[in-house]
Amino acid sequence: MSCSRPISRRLFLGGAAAAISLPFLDAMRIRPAHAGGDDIARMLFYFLPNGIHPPSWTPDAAGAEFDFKPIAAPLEAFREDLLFVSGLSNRNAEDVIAGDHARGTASFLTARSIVKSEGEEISNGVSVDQEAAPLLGEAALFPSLQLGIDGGDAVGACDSGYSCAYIRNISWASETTPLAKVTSPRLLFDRMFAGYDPTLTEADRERRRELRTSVLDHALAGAESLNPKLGSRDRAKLDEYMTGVRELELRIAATDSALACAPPDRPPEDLLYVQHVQAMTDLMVLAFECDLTRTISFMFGNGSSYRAFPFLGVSGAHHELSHHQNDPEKIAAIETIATWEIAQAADLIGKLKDRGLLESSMVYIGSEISDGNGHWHYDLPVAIAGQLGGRIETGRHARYDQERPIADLYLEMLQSVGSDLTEFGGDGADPLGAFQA
Amino acid sequence: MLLGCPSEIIVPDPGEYVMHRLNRAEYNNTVRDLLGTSLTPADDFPTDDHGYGFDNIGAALSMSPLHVELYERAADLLVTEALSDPEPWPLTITQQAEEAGASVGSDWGLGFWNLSEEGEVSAVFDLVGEGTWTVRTRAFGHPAAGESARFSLRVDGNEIGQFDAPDLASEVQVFEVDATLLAGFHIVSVAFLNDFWQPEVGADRNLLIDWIEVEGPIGRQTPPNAIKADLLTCDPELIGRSTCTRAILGSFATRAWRRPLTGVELDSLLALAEAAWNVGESWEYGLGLALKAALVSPHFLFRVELDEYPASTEPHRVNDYELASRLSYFLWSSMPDEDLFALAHDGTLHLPEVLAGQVRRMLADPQSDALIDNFAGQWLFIRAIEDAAPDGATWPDFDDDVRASLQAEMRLFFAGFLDGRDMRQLLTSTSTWLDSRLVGHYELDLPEGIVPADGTFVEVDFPDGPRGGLLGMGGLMTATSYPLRTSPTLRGKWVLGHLLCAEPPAPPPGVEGLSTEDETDAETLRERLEQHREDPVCASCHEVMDEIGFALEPFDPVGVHRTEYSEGVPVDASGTFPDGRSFVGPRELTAVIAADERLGGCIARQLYTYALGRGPVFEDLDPMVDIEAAFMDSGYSFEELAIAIVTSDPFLLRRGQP
Repeated sequence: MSCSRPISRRLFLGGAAAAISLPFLDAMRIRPAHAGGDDIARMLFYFLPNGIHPPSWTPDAAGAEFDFKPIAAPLEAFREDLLFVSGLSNRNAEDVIAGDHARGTASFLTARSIVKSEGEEISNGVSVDQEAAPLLGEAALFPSLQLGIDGGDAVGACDSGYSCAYIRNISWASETTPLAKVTSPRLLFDRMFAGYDPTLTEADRERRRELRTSVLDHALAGAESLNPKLGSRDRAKLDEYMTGVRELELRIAATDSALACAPPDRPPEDLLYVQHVQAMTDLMVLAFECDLTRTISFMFGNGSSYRAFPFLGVSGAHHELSHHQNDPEKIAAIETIATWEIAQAADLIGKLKDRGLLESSMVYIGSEISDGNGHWHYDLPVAIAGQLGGRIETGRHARYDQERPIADLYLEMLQSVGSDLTEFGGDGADPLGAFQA
Repeated sequence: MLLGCPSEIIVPDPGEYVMHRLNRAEYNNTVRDLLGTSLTPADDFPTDDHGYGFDNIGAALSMSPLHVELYERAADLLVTEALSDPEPWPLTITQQAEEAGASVGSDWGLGFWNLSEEGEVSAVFDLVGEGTWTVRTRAFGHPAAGESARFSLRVDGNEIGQFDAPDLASEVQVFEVDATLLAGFHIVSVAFLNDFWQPEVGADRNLLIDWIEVEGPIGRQTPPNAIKADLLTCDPELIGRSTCTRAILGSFATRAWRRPLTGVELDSLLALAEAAWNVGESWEYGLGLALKAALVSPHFLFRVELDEYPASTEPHRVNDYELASRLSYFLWSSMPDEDLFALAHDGTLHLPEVLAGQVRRMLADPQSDALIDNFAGQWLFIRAIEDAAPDGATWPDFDDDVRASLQAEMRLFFAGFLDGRDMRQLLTSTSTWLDSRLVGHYELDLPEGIVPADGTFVEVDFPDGPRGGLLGMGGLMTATSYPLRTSPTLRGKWVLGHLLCAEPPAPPPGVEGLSTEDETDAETLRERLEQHREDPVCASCHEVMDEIGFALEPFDPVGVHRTEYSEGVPVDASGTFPDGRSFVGPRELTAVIAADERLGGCIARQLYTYALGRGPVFEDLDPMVDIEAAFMDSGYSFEELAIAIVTSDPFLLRRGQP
């Protein structure tokens, strides 16, 4: 199934045009029938670093009459599309040693206790988005997308002896394989839309696809003949490689049928921070709209982000500010940062709604901790937007006691889309039941 | 080896290697040396995770599906570039006026820019070759007071022609002039010269421009694609398609995989090309497919080392091809060159005197800059300057240019140690490298004759301080500060961890909040840190860390020297260790650290970790003792340290994984 492509090749290949945010062209509004079908469900996991100051976020009132605290204010326009959940905890991230940000970030979607290691002993669990991805749409071009804004510092320790992998990745394919994320809008654009040459005939395209696949088959054959000659650890590395090759082969096979809409202009190479966030927001909307994927994880920053926000009139680095010691100025600063981040999330939610995608989607917003000053792994900030195809009754605030594992929420997410898992993470065994009033 | 070891252990355990994926720097350097490309496709790859302070640690370099996808994309880019034919000269480049820069005027519609008063439309062109270029514009004018619009065509501000524009849009005309130009960037502009405006009589003279264009270089032969010329060493028409392809693939893949191919491997690559030809693709398309296959192969992407018995922990020597890769990725962050391949082919590379000779040769080669980029870049935090974020409101002049100069200062300084110079002078040297930007940033008043010309660095000696030596580097001081203030703790932790390999453990949870962000009052800062130490849990580490940092307080958060804080409080740069050693300021601190017996061992350990690409393990203790001794005996020579490492058992041996 594919739809018409009324956009010229010149535009398709993109030029030097300095598109700051991506315009949504009419052509992209043409949606194939299946993109709006009843069975479609989409999940987007939206991570904010350094916690969200709980007193300025969590609604006081539970139920349908919930209130909006200052940081949540940008979401107020979507009141009827929102489900706040409060009082959940991720005890898996707690320990008696330093490294709360690494543990909180790595277990954000896995709800597992990670192993402290600089590389050799990396161990986490499969993340909820990766459990959900095959249930939501194996047929989509990308089983899932991992996106973010910051790649990570060029040098230096990441968090107290924990590998950088823990603090830079929230999606984990297996206990040992973090899924690296794309941070460049231009690269994401190329991944989403490149590889289709409208000047070729269908027969040409088929032939080229087969040849391209033959190269990957060759790589797989090489890996297979190498495998028995390797020790156990090397084989594990090679397995990661082979998994990637097989996934790419599946994508190539799906390429033509999956291109459901024509792209906008290719984003420029270097974007300022705010435009960078906006470009990623627009591409995420487009990835859903064109049905290129049904599962996305997005990191607004890496765990414990030190980003400065001078354009908000805030001095200092985010992580340092989050250790506010009850200094009102610092609390005001982290509120300003979080409010702006939530406004970007609201922009995303609004665009999904404008394009009729919010009803079929779930946008889950959260952080690796709740209070940055004390590194709390309880009372975690959770907001969900969208109805996930009628599965979520929105317009509510569901409150739990502080001991309820966030893994129970993840279990509910998975079961709602047909998973037969009965346990998730380190402590999820009882689906939360927050989706229905 | 320790006394009393059981005598049957003849060969020491070299530790466990994990198959090493090329990291981003290694990938870019390797394709540069393999193809001669200037593309750097790995810039798009995910940031490499690091461990033990370096991003070349095999166990930490994971391989996700995204990596594989981007490897395929990179292979496609590289092969497409390698086999492409350049666009034939002369080239024509056109810039539409409404999309070009304009000093005045407005978009007139129909693709024209209206210069409504005297001003110009200008466009920047990057010319591929020197020679004669035809410069053109298409324009017409609105006349007034009986006079046509007149304009000047200029290159880099110099007039090359002056014209009167036709008076009607229907007579719009192309004007052109030939100019002799060098390759590179040039600004071509069209300037309106005779504006006239009398609104009361409706008289308004304007110039309307459609586009600006250059064509050239005229009469010069199109240069061939150098990458293609090097790659295609035979003519398939002359010696036959398969024979020629096999020859090209054999030589390419041998270098790409850093070892000779087996016949079966070469056949399988050739088969890919043949399959493409059989369905009607061209010779080059088929060849390109096989080249791509070589570049997405695990043999290219990983540094594969094989054991005869993969599950056995019995140590054995790596073969000379594997050794050549270990050596070249250590010293050059890239593939082996022809000399190393030749020695591997001869089977003599592992001989100690041959290895020593190669280390000397490779360190003298410009490719050893990779050690500055990647080893010193990480060990000495040169790369961290990129991520430092001094508060923009407080230091508005701290821009990317200053950042680049601060990095260059440290790079030039470290480059002086790649031969035999005593590495303790990293600390005790009183000189450094400065350009005019750093002279300004550091607020230095240099004597006449020493001031560097713009764009050049000169070595300047500061016998009496404050600059010179590692602990006088503004970049390091910046990278170890918070956005708004210095952190004696961070600086002390850096010195202990990076120079003495004695980094204190991370604080227990809950106390991280003690660091303050915007506290700039000096007395309060010192007092707060001292108060902090009244807790004995904190004291044991902070009484060393903070004292080191206090001595570096004369450098502010962007590395500028200061004698007092902005509040007028004098800087107290005194520090005292628990054992009674005391010092005042960076120079005295430097003397204490340089005399510390842990310094030599720490430098050796840092380079050893980087060379092996794995974290130190228990089995490394014995070889480390020998390496350290050789390093110190040589007078702390980097070159001798590198030789001691590459001739050590862990570098020469490997074993399987149980």
